[in-house]
Amino acid sequence: MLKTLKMAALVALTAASPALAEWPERPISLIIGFGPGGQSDLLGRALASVMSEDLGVPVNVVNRPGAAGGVALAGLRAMPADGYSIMLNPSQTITLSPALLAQVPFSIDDFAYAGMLTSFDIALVAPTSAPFDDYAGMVAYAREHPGILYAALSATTRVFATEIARANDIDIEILPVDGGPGMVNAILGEQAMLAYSGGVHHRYPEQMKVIAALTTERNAGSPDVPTIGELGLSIGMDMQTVLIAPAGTPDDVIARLEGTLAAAAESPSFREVADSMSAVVQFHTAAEATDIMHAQLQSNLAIMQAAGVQPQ
Amino acid sequence: MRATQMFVGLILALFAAAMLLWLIPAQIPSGFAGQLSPRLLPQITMWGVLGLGLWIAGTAVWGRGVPAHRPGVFARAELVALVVLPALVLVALWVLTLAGPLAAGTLLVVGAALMMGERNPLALVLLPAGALGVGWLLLYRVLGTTVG
Amino acid sequence: MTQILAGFPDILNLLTLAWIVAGVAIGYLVGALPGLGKATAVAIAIPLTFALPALLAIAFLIGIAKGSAAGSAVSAILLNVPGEPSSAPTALDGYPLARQGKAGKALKAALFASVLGDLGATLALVALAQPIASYALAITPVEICAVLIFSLTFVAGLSAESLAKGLVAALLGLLVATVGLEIESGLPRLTFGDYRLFDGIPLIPMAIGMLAVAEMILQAGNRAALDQQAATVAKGVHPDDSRMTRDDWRRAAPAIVRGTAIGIGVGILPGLGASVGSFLSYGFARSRAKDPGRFGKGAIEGVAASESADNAVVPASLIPLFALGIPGSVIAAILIGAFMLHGVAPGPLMFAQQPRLVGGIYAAMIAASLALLLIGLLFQGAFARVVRVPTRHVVPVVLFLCVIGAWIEGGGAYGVQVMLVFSVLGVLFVKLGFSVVNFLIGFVIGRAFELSLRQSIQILGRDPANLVSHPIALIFLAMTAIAVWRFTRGARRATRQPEET
Repeated sequence: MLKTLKMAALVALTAASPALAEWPERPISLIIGFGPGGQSDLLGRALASVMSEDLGVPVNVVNRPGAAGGVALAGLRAMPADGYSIMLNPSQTITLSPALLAQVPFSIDDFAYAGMLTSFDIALVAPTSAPFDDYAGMVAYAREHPGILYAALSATTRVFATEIARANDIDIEILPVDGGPGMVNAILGEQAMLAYSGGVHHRYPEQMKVIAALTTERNAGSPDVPTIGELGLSIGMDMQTVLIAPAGTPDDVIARLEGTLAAAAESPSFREVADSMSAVVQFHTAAEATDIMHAQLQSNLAIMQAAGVQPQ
Repeated sequence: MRATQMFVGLILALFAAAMLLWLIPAQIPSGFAGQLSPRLLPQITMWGVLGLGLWIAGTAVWGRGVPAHRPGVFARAELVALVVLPALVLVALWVLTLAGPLAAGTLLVVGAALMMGERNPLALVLLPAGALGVGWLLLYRVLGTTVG
Repeated sequence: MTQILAGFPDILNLLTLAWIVAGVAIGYLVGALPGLGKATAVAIAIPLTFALPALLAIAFLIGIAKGSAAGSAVSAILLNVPGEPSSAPTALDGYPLARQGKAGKALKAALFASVLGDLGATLALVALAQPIASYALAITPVEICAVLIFSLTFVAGLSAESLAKGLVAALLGLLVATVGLEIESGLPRLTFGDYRLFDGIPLIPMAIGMLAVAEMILQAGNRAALDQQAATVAKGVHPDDSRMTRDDWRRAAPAIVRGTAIGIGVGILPGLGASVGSFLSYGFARSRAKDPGRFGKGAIEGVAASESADNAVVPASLIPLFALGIPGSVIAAILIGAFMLHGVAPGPLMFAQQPRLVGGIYAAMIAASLALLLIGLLFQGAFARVVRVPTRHVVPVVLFLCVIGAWIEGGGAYGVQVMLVFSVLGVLFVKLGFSVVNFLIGFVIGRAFELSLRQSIQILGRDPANLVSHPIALIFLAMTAIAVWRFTRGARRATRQPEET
């Protein structure tokens, strides 16, 4: 009798909470919103190998490029919230796109955030040969030589130039470039005096110098360089890689994912990969990540609106 | 031959006109001040197509000779293939969501073989087996990704 | 330099050589499969090399890229289905040759052209990477824009039947290239609210559809004619049909030299890519030919021009990468990730800090070129026999591979849908006499052209007078004007006589 009761209780428990201690039982898909070989892809693959060791199931990387992860996010939103489809992506695709685009096929509340892994050292850079060494010098130079070029690698990055120009009453012209490599080309070739860098400038310490950090706190790689906020313009916008799952994913699954993220942040093999691309490893828990995401969204919206950017 | 060319030219011209008058203004915002308009390049191409389309139609009607190309515009079998092959792929995609990659792949290969006139049952078994084998190796082993 | 040379013998051990050969072989076979591009192949292989020492890993990956660039000619010639978009011009003359029973000849021509182009560009890399460094930076978007404008004139050279139709095809390609988010403003163009189009129409599923699937639809609709052709092919094979005669070499050699030069030029310029190289080389060869009517019907120079440029682009695109750390092409960008992973920072520092490794890489690349020759010859026999496989067996398998390729490169079912849309368009183009290659050139050049135009306007400070500080650009613009003048003169002469049929 007792035995039957026990059995019944066990069955009831396992039937009622299928996620408890059962996940993961089959391979997990880690979706990357960029093509193979890029920074996000390599970080994702490094994370996947740590994850599969930690969780005991294969973690397959699936590339779904398009719109800086936007296409993949739109797809993730509709996937079952069972923890078998997750995504590693830069945070700004969720926290910045709504400021620029009127129709974004996802919102910040469509997802659950299991933690953050790395952060980006976003900075305003200049070629080493530029005739100024810091922000004040740059502003002075721009006053005497109106029309200096700033390399913007997308529409979102223009706003830094336009705001700096407006605040200091100088004339900065924008040179559109095609992504990180395009920016590197423009600076090394001295076609532009200034550029937005998402962190790739760490690879060229001899050819580029950092004028200001464009994040809210100083860059880990250039701790002596002030932020744009310290220099008087509160337009710093942060970006981290965040582990994303569809909203409604069970809490224990999220907790497990958070655990593997922490393991990856400590793992020497992951750190090696991250160091090789100058990605700053900075772990945040799921709760912290969720807070940061929401705060970032509000802050970004406010900055863009103040700069007069209307969603199209 | 001439009639076809004339139609082709006119359709191109009409398409270009439609783009210039409706689609481009509707689908492309005019950009902001001090920037080369996002509409510029599309408009230039469409003006070009408009002019060339009229030229093609014009030479078909009044020109001397018409250059020959792949003869016989649209044999019936080609039209059938044009519809059936894409349809086959779309059905296979749909089956993928229902029954998984194995079923979808088999359907695709067998369907295409039948379309090409293969009737030998042995071939109809070996072809999908071979193709799916290569596919599996490529995707699951070499690439480490999943499908569907 | 002596330190670099010291690195050369580093590859002379069995393990290293084995990895080099393995990379080239895998690349060749993957390239021969329609649908899979070398970019994906290399990117996927990167994690496989995590545990390898730097020299082996990098040699392996570069080997894959080289092998794939050569292997993509195989399916282009045998099946009229290019393994990658950059081998599309190879199919234009390679497939007719195969249909004439000369598959062996075409395959050998493609292989030799690939190897020579690859070797030539590799030697250029070894000899010129450092010296060229500062000169490469002198190339700004202004020069690139001028070069692209000049390249568009080659489109005229490719307009086989009718100049008007050729231009229409290229203009339509240019139009399709504008679909997506405009780079400068970030505003969506012609996306009809579909988020997936924000990055534009993906090239590889589009190319697979327009070239490969369209061809298969046409083959499915012409079964009777094809079976007849197959019968004549299988009947008898003249020994000359499966090798390159002296006559063939006489025709192909200049095309290879020019193709290599064009490939090197295109590879060094950032942002263009292998497709632009092979298309331009083919177009140039055609416009230089004394009897351009032979092109498209089995002119061996066409195959040679296309493949030598296609392969030359790969090592050439590594020149800015090695010399300056700037990835100018997709392959280079992917390889930068691999370099970084193995603790090597490409750029001038690399030469200063790890000259021996650089020497080893150079030696490995030269060895890879030779390995390419061996592997190509090894597989020739097997590949040539594919021609005898009945079309009704080939089409289902190739279609399957194309769907997989479009799925992988296009991000799932969306890629397959793009492929299908453009396959229908491709069939329409062929039946109505429009050149698919022109369309693709317009598309590929279109994106680079519009960006460089916008950049040029900013760099010139919106003042055309500033062009005088860009002499190279002025030269190319002058060449464009000359080419247009010569062409309109020739066209006017041609319209006085009845057009050829």
